[in-house]
Amino acid sequence: MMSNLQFPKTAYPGKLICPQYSTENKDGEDIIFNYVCGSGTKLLHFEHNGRSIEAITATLVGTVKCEEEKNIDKEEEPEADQSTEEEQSVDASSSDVIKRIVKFIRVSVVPGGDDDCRTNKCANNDFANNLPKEGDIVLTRVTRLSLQRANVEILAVEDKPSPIDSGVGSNGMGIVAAGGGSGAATFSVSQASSDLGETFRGIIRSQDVRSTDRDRVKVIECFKPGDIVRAQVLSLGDGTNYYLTTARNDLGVVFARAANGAGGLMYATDWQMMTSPATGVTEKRKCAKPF
Amino acid sequence: MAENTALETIEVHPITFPPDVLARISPELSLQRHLSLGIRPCLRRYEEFRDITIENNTLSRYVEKDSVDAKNNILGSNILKSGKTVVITSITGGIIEENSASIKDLDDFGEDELYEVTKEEDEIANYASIYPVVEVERGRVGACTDEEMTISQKLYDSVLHSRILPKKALKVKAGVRSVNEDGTFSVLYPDELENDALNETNLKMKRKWSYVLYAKIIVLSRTGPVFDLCWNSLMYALQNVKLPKAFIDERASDLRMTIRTRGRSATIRETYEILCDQTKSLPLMISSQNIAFAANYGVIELDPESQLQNPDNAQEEVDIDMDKSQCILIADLDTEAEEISIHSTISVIASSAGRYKQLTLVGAGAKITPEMIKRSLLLSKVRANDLSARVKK
Amino acid sequence: MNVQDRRRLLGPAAAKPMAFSNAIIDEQQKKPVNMPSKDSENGDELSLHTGFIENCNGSALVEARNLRHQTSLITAVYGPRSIRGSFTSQGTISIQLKNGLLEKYNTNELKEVSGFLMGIFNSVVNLSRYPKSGIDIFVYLTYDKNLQSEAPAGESQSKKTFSEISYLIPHCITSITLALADAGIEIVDMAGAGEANGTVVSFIKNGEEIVGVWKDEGNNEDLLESVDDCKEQYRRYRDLMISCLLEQKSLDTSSS
Repeated sequence: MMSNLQFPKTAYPGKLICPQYSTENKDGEDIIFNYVCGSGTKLLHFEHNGRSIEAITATLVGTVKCEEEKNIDKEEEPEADQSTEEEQSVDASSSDVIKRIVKFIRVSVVPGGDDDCRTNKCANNDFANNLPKEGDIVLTRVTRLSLQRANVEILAVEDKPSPIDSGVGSNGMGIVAAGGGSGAATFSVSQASSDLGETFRGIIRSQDVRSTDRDRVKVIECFKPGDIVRAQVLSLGDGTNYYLTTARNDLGVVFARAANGAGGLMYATDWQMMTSPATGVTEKRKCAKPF
Repeated sequence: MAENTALETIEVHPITFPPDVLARISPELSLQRHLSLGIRPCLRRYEEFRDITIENNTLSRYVEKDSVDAKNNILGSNILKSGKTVVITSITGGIIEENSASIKDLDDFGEDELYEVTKEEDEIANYASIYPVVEVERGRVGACTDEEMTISQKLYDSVLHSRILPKKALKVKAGVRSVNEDGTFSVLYPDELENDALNETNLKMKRKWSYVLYAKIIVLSRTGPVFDLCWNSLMYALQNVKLPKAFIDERASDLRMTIRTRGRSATIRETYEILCDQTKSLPLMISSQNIAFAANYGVIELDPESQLQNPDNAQEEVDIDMDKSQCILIADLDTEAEEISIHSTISVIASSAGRYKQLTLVGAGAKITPEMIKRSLLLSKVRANDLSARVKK
Repeated sequence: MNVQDRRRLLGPAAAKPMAFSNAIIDEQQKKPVNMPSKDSENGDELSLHTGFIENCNGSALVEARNLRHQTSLITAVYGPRSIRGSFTSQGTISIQLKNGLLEKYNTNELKEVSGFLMGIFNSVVNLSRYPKSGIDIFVYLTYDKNLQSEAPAGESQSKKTFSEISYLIPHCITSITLALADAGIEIVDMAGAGEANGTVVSFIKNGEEIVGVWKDEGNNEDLLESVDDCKEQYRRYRDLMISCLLEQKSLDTSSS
């Protein structure tokens, strides 16, 4: 039992899950539970009987999950270690006799049912709440190359599908048989300028392609348009592009077709060479070490 | 998977992704993998169509037998659901004064004769079409997409050339509304029996009108090519269209007006009105033997490289398979993977009796063989049989 | 067809839309045959569905029917989608209302309503989770029928249309909330609203906070009373939405 509180099993937006703090006295020790907002929750301010309360509220429909924060030691901890929490110090000053333990518990709401098998496999399988953020591994497709950088579009955050509404059917990207699809210049409503396309875009600068010999990277020898590249998000970048890097062994091209897409699939034979098993052709790429 | 090169054997480590991620980053590969198992990403078999459900005439003004919905101007409607896709068709009408027909009424025999000759040459001129506006909802605003424009135009042309709507059926048999002595209105229609006694000249009008039909087709939840869904929905909707009877005011019936069509503003509205009867209506007489249903097919080459190997027939067959590729026919394309990877398509419009109205072949990529065309024609006929049976239920 | 887009097939220019004779309806139009059953007199019969549109992230269908109206609304939520232009640290919302088959409302009216709805949902959606992205919400007023026998012509026609659209707003809010929840977009609470006397009040947090007020012309004295009426309706709608969502979710669980 991680907490003395009875959590609701399922939640819907607006459902109060728990207050920010709760305490418990066990074996002469004060245990303070500090609940932290995970995904699908938000700390909201409520007025109740004239008192104001901060409570963690669900913002999604799904199952409530709570887990103890791993990075904070469960054992007795001096307050100094949690100096990030300002509220903590206020509480600490009032009591100094009793030994106290502070536990941080992350509360999140996960879409899907409790026993949903998909939930177990990839905990959060909707892209809507998995927008790429710093440090995420993303799968991208190369759209444009220049001497300084490769432009890519982000297809999926690793192991999580991207939104369903960004495919051919809805935005008409890609080539389809005559008489179908749409290549027309229609824009997302929220889109400020008139650039086409819906996917999130990214840039891999030439110095971010690999970690060694960074000044001598030739982008054209690392990527080709259409390649599927596994990359890591460096920063949210500017309005248009995320900044990405492939400077790690497990990052780089994972799927590529020979002869700029005309040939068959190629497989990585070493970190900068790919081979098509059908024709034996080799081409240069910055490959991801198969993982 | 092992691979032989002249020098050494390299073990290739396959990279694995969850299926939905693979479908996103490489739809072609995902499709090929599915096909090699004998199914499609939508879990249908190669030649399996999606089932449809239809609701006819639920939106029109003539929903209920004994009353009409006065504010509703929809003459016929259909809601067609096929898989996840929903197509809502509503047919509305307008009235246009016929200029060409009025030539016939002139006393100039020569012109009349010439008119007849050209008319016979061009039999298609006896048929009209419907003006469709297709809206595929995809969360965008702004200009209509080229898909919407292409489908609208194709629907228009196909209805015309399928000879479904004879111009005869769209003629307005206008009645005359007159004010009785007690101040009430009464409307007399030429086709109603009790009007026999009516003085012929009273109803003899120089002007002729015909109905114009418009279709608004809304596609929700588009998952694949939608032309045949729109067509089928339009066919169902056309079959339940009812045209309201129309009349003009007595004092306007022999009013002569020269109309200058200089721009759109010059309408005949100011001079007199042709009004439609609130309650009385006649079913639209379409040539029902020409009602046909559409189906589409795709041809794709199975890529030997991306086959999922069964462990039992693994090694020996691989080398032979690599060289010759096998093409398969896929019916009723759906899902993004199929739409993006299948470029050779066959589109057929056929009636249940085996009258073929349209055949479109687009060859790009995989080769369309005569056998495949035959097969698709046959399947289309079966499909049309199935679809046309839904109407009676 | 009042679409004026020349890229569409609009038919011959000289054709004019069918005009139905008005004089005759008034005599012939009887009281609506299918009056809803008496027990629904106090409120709407509401039917809610979610997640039936495939090419968007979340969708909802709301069908409401009471003595006066029969309405069906489809809402589709697209996004979060990438936006171009300068960096935004939080998401932007846009809401479009679209006329359905019966082109009943003019665009200005719809724009006004969508502006109002945008104000509500800007405060309901947890926008800080969606940097650099836009959430597009489309509401299709598929079907909207006035069941009341038409008032003798002419009388306060403009007022009529106003109160009609204000009648729709609570349902728009319901369906947008449902669609957002279906899309898995974070919202701080199930927003809902009620309508009374042409006044629409939208609430969150169990009626403790008001997120939007819409007022059409009409008497202003009983504003507080209207708020109470709205709150009552809001609670009813909210309970319905929650049970709908949870039911949907448990269905999901059983199927997988």
